[in-house]
Amino acid sequence: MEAPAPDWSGLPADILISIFQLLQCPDLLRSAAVCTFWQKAYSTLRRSGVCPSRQTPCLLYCTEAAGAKALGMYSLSERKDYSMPLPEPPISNWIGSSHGWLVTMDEKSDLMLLNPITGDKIALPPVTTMEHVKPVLNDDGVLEEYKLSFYHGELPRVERTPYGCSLDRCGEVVYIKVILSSDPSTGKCIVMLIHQPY
Amino acid sequence: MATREAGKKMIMLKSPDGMEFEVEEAVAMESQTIRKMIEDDCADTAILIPNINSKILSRVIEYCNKHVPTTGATGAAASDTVAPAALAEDLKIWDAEFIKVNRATRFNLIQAASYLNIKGLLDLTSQTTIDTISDNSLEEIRSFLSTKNDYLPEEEQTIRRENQWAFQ
Repeated sequence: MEAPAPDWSGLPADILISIFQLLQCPDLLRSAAVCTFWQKAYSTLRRSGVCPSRQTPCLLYCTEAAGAKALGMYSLSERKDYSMPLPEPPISNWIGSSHGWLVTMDEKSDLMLLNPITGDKIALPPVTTMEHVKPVLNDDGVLEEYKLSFYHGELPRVERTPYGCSLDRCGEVVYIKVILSSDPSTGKCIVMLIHQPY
Repeated sequence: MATREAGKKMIMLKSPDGMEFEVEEAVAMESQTIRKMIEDDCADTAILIPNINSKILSRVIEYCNKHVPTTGATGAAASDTVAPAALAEDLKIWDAEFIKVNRATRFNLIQAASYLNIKGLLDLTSQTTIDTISDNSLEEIRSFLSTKNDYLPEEEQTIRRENQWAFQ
């Protein structure tokens, strides 16, 4: 005879967290919604910044149907498609990915870190904080384009005549690679950018 | 194993419901908790395991008995005669049979493995739990593990909305 089923929400937190660490991401998110105690264990795990250890890679892709509003994700472990909503502002280009976060660029060429799983986003300093990118405003004070000034590595520095560049093209010209030192969820993360001119 | 045949030290494990289990020290030391007690000289001839009943304790000992030759200090000598791969395969099959228990027993085994700090058993019981959770909807997880949903309806809505895509 089967003994009365124990209430698994009473599983000690440390065991629960070590089990959560082994779950695939969609399973983990569903488990967090099981009860308040499991939700707390999930939050603890998130805050600790320890990546769940055995994630099967997922394929992220854009679909015509969803357009700029959502991102498709195919889970290899579940053999299932998910559709993840994308936050505003619309993303015009993808610069890279690191520690589970995507580095995206909006139509003004400003960079943003986006966690596709949680939808969390972190804006990075705008492109105009780089010394060789200057904003050009029109008569109404609206940002119209950027002026880029390029130079070679030799000293003394010889700058070429700055030239105009459309808002969304600027990032494609300037950005080469972005890497994160750690998962930004932990609050301690340095973003390193390789850019033109270099 | 042959090298230690003569001088095998025995340890008495006592469950809170009064049962006593005499086990080889090497078997008991599969538990890191007990190993620490023995190494720190905190163990007399008998060790009381406070929160694990005799039914579960006997199963834990059964597990340790099976697993001791391959992982214990004497393991290297013992496994010379048997191909390690075959041994591992044999253990895997044995583990799969061992864990075919009802949910109440599995729940208690996880707790026991955690308290006694037996990594292999904790991995085995955790993995079985993961298999229960994997690829199932929230409602299925709740019903398989009979967890109580203590969210207020609006709280649950908020949680679901945050990661709506995972509930598709």
